Amino acid sequence: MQPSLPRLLLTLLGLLSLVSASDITATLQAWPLSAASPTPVGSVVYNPVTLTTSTTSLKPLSLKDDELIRIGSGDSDNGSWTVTTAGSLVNGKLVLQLDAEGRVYQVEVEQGRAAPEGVVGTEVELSRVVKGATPTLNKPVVLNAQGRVPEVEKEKTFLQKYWWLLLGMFILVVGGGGGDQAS
Amino acid sequence: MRFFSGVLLLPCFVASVLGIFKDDAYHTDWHIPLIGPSLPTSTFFHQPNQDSKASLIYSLTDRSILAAINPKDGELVWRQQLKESAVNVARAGNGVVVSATGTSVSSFNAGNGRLVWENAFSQNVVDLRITPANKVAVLFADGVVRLLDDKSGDVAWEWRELDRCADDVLVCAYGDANFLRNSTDVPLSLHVTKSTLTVASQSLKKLWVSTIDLATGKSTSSTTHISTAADIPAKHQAHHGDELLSWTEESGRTLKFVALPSTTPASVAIPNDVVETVLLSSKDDVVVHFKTHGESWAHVYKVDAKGVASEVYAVRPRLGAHSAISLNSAGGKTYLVWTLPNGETVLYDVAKEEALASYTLINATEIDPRHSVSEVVPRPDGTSFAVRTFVSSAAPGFVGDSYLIRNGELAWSRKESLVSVVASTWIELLDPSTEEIVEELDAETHKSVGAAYVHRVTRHLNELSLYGPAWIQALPQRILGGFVNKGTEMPTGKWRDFFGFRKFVIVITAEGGVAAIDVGRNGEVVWQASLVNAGEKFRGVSGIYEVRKGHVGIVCTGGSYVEYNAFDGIEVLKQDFTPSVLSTAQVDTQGGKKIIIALLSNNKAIALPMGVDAEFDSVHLTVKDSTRSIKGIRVSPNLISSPTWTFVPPVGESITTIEGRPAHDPVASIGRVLGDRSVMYKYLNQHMIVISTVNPTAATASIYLIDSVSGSILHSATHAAVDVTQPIVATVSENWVIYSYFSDEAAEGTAKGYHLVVLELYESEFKNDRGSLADADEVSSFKGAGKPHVLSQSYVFPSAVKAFAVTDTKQGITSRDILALLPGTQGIYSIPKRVLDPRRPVGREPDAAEKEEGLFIYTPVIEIDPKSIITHKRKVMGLKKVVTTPSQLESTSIVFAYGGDLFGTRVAPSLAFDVLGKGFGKIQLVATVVGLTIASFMVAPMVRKKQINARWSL
Repeated sequence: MQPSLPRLLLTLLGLLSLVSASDITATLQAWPLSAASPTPVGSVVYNPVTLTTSTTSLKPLSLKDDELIRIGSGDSDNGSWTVTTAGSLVNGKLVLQLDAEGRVYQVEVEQGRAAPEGVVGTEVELSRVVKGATPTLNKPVVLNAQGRVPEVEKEKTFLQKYWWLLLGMFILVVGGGGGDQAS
Repeated sequence: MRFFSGVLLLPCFVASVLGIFKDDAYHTDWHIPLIGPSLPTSTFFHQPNQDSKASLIYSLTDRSILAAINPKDGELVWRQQLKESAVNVARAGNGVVVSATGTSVSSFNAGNGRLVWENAFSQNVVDLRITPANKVAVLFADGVVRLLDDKSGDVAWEWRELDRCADDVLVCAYGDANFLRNSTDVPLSLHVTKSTLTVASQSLKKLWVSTIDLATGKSTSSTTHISTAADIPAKHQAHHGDELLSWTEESGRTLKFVALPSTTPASVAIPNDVVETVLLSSKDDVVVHFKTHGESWAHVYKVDAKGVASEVYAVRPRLGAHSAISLNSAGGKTYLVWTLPNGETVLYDVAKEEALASYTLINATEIDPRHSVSEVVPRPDGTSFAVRTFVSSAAPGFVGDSYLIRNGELAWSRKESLVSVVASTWIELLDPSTEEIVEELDAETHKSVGAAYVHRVTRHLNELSLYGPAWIQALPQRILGGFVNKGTEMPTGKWRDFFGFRKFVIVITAEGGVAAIDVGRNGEVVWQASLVNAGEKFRGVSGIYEVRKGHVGIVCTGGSYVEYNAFDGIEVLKQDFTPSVLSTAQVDTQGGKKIIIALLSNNKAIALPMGVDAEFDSVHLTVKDSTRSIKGIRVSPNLISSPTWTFVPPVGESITTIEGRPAHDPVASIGRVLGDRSVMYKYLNQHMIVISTVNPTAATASIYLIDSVSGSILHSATHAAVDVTQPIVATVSENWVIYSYFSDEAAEGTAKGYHLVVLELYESEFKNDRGSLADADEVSSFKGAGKPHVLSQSYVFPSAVKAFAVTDTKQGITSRDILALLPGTQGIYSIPKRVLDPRRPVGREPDAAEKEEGLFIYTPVIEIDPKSIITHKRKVMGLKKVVTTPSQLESTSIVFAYGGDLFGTRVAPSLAFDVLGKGFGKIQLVATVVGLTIASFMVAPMVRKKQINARWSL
């Protein structure tokens, strides 16, 4: 299918808007299961195109390490919240799930791979939605005007192509007169 | 070329191995075809063609299935699934049955059910009649009447004069007067007389009739209104023929009817306590049937030549809320057949007050008739009759069950209410060999070694004296039985067979009926009970569980918990509570018991049965709040529920399905051994759920794997160019997820069609590596237990999938089959899991290591091989869900499908490796052994003699 012009333009526009997309600041909120409402704990500034974070600032939480807290970036009623322990928030890796437009729709904590002891300060990962698998189709067979499968012409090797040149050079070299010794 | 043929052959090879054996078909599986509750005015006795003496019962049901039932045995002669619609009409023609569902009209051959013609229109059909010339007159919702040809279904003429008044005209000529116009006409019914058609419609709270000439399609007279009082269309059930038009006055307390072509209505007062009125007519005999909550009676009227109705007599009231009357004309007389709640049939002649005959039902059951049709044939002696009545039941919980009563004898019954099964659970039956000694075995475990040994020896001695003689006596018979190889008979009662193929499945119907179905004995209904009382509306079921051995617990959404003995259906416990239930889960207590945790709509949690004293660990429930949010709720051991996580998908997406891992999902191996002897560890998370969402504006579908404890996303993927109107179906088992969706052609590089996607989750992308869980003693979802490594592959599948199920065996060692429920009559298709394996090499032949692993080259299309359809030749209809359960044999999984028909079978995904097949010849084996022994005894002296001779000859 040929992409139509409006579609192409749209895609271009989309790309432009993405490229021009400046850094986005996501406010992080922590909401202990025991508390009535969430409290902001800091923010992450990231670029949704390059998937890099520029600044991360987190306030330390005055909670016990094993206390369960909800974390998220939206409001208490309409936002996504995931549950983790207060300790993991400090030691673990913060994952921001981004939607197609690069906005954060869910925040979660992942235990870093063999997180070194005593490292305080959260590592941030930006995770964009992945394209799902699609069937890997076979290549279509293109027929020629006669309705046959065209025979692929074999590429001639260098020798096959230029043997006459080499032969000419050989003859020239062999048959070329030597120095005029007689004189 | 060889390469290609190899590629093509490989899937065929796989499938042919896993097909159903011919000798298993119709032996290991059973099928109960159902049509659903019959519609009162579209059910009738009718001769398939003019010459045939016997008639069949034709019925159109509220599932839009048109069927012909043989009145002798209740078997379906044929059935047709029509387009499901709220408007369903069926009428009998000469040699055909014409039906209308929604906007289309179709005519079927009455004898074999083949489609004669079909014609679709833009408007819904309101009424349909067959003219004396066998043509079809149809009244549509926009007031247009069309006459359709009997052979082709083509429109012969159209009549559009009902809507001649446009909506924006304030004053218009209507009939014989001008009217202020503020409402549109509502066409009500169509009536056929010899040469005219009468259309009844309602406008300005009045009833109007228009008459059309059948031959020309032109109005023969202007539209007239036939009633002076404000009327409403018939609130009562009108089971009458063409000649009668009936309606109710606005007060609801006066029933009126007019015998066309007369326009003077007769009126009948409806007593105050009447809850249902049925009007029946046959030619000029009219019967009005009243039902109150406690009794029912009828009035019989006769219409004279001038169209004036006069009461002939009244049938005295009989007790019981539900009864049904049907009229039948035979030999110039009209008979009234009255079926009472207990199945008693009373026969009247409409001309005489005293009953002609009365038949008490011998094998009496509460039938609770809702409506009936009957056929009466007077015997030559003039005093006795052959009466058969087809009754549709109104029994609470089982609305629509049908019965045929023949002269006071229940000829057959059909469990049509089971067409609406909405939930089910499996019940293990008892093992006859261990059940009796369970307590003794239990006693042994609580004694010291010495005492237990003595206990066991004495028990064995007791058993020897008790069962020994009988066992020895039965021995010859058993040995003989083993040779004859007759099929082992399924036990009855609460006992299971040796292989555990016999199980009960307890089902709940949409109306609140509970039934136990014996899957080992061809779907026989063992017992049934009702969760609702008469007149009560069932609000749905929130959970059905096997709560302990032989007991089933049902949590009704409306706020009640009922426990039944699963073997005999006796109600053990009933508890009511408020408010309604949001979600339920079954948990194991620390004492090894099973209890149900129910989350109520006031966000409080309760443990069921109430008053049970049990300790359990925290439970995490998932509740779908709206299409935009799913909530996780934690119920702590002291039954305090607190919301934990919330999943809100990205803007524009709405949640369609949620699936979790099945409760019984054994994993035989925690890793997958590759060809090079390395291991990839499976990511096994009991709390994993799959959520699918669609975004209608962007035409995308997304799948999210979520940890239902912490709410974090384990994996997500988005598919572009998805037809979001088609359902996305998913299933989870072990460490993999399979889902299907419809891909539109808009996306480049993908194929238009249904795609099956498989996701396999591993702990790490590296071999012999356990990822972030490497050395962890314990893992907590709260601490972010690491993301799985996901492999995925997608395939084109030739059919839509309505539901998935995964075969379930006792230990999970047997490979799995994915059972895909295909819509229509295509049945259940079984796909081996190894076909849906994301490690299949793409674009190249598998290397030696991959071959050893059992991988074969990726092909983009999974063809439907008819051999792998486990419903084989059976025409299953309307199935919505498939459930599986293990048998006692590791190789075999039991399958049950419901939602329309009922279907049950057994499948062995890795073939029946642990049981001898039917073809195993015990006689040959024993004969060979015996023959060889005899031969060796005979040959031995000869050989000895030969050897001795050989020595002497030296």
